[in-house]
Amino acid sequence: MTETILKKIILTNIPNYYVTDENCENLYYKALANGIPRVLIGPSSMRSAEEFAARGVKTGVSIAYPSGTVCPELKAQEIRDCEAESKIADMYFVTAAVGYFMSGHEENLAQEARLCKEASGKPVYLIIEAAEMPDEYLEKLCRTAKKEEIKGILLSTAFMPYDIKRPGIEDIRRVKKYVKDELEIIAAGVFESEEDVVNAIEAGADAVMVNESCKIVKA
Amino acid sequence: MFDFSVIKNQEIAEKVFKEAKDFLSLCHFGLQGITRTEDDVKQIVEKLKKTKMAPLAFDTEMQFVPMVRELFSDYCCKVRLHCAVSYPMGRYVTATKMNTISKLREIGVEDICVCLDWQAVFSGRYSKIEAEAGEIVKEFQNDFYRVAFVIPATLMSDTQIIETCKALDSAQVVSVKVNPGAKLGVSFEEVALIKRNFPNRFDVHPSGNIRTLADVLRYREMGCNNIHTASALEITDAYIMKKLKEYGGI
Repeated sequence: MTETILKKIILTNIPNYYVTDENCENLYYKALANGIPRVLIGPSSMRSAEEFAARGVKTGVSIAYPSGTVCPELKAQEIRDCEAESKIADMYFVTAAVGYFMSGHEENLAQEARLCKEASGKPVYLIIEAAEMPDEYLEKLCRTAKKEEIKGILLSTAFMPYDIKRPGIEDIRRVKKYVKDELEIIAAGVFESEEDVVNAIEAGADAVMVNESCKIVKA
Repeated sequence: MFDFSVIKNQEIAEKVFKEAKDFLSLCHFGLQGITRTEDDVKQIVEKLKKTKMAPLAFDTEMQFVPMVRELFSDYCCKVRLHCAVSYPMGRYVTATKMNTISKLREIGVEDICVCLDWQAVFSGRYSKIEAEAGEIVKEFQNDFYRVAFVIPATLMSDTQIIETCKALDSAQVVSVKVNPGAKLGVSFEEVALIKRNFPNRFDVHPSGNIRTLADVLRYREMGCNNIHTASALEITDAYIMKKLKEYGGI
């Protein structure tokens, strides 16, 4: 895989059930070995990640993952709890309350974006399930994210036990249409080859979240 | 759901209805997940209300709690509300779990399960498990009908299950939910392992992959009275049919 493509990868283990302290360390080693600039971990992995703090890999920490169904105040509190526990996070990936949003509670999304940004002052990304969102809701969500100055949108939790549609190339194009170049678009889903990653980027993704177990990234 | 009006013998109908009601009262029922909307939840509440019975608890997400409570306000049965904390992998830091449980208590949720930190479990950091569970038990054990701690038994070795249960024992945990569901289903062997190594110690809640009446009856025989199954209403129907065959109601 070319250096340019590797620079656009976010390596993660958050969808995986089986994560040990050693797996978490290996996530960073793999990122370092491949020149991948960012990893995404869960809050319980922060302590294991601290030894890699100054080694050039940026750390994203997931919030309210994978369901995103707690109230906005608790999401902001989770960020504060993470900050109190560790200083490893460079950015936060907040799982949006997608179902609640699609129930007509648009103000809830704006509130969680605002409160989460205020909680640490660090960049905040929203995790959504783009493939499950009709255009009407996706457009509204992107508009709110832009208005609240969210840093970017991760298109899926990639949490496989959920029986839901996974975003494909068409969903990347849909999000791109609404956010244009104002927000970072991070594709997520199943990437089995370098070609899948390249296709996602060509469709408009600025970055791609790749599971650490994926064979396209060298161990 | 079974239509009791088709039973001609009123006495048998009432007897079976009461037994079915008792049966469902040992099972959870509800709807959870990231993309669930209010309409989805309303539909499932209406489905339950047609039974005129109450499950052990209705499982929902925190954000739907006020709406669900309102939907059940005119129901013939009292329905406990259940929410899961840090579901399913327990990746919240302990402070976030405490804050979440506190919020659930504040909004009147009566029953909860808390997912242990699976990374600590798989890494053998049992002292962390004990400390976290102990903190939660100390603060919240008496504020809910049950505070169950979720272990991913299917992904654990027997030794990991036993060591985790030892940590929960030391933390004075009462209820252990065996597997979270979400594609991780309980087995009879996992429940038997805990029962054998910790006799009469834990209130074990089997969860996931429970799809038939035979499954539920077997877990009940093993002493489990708090069962998580997405098929609770269908299984209750099967139970009703079984009872009607026994009593000659059909």
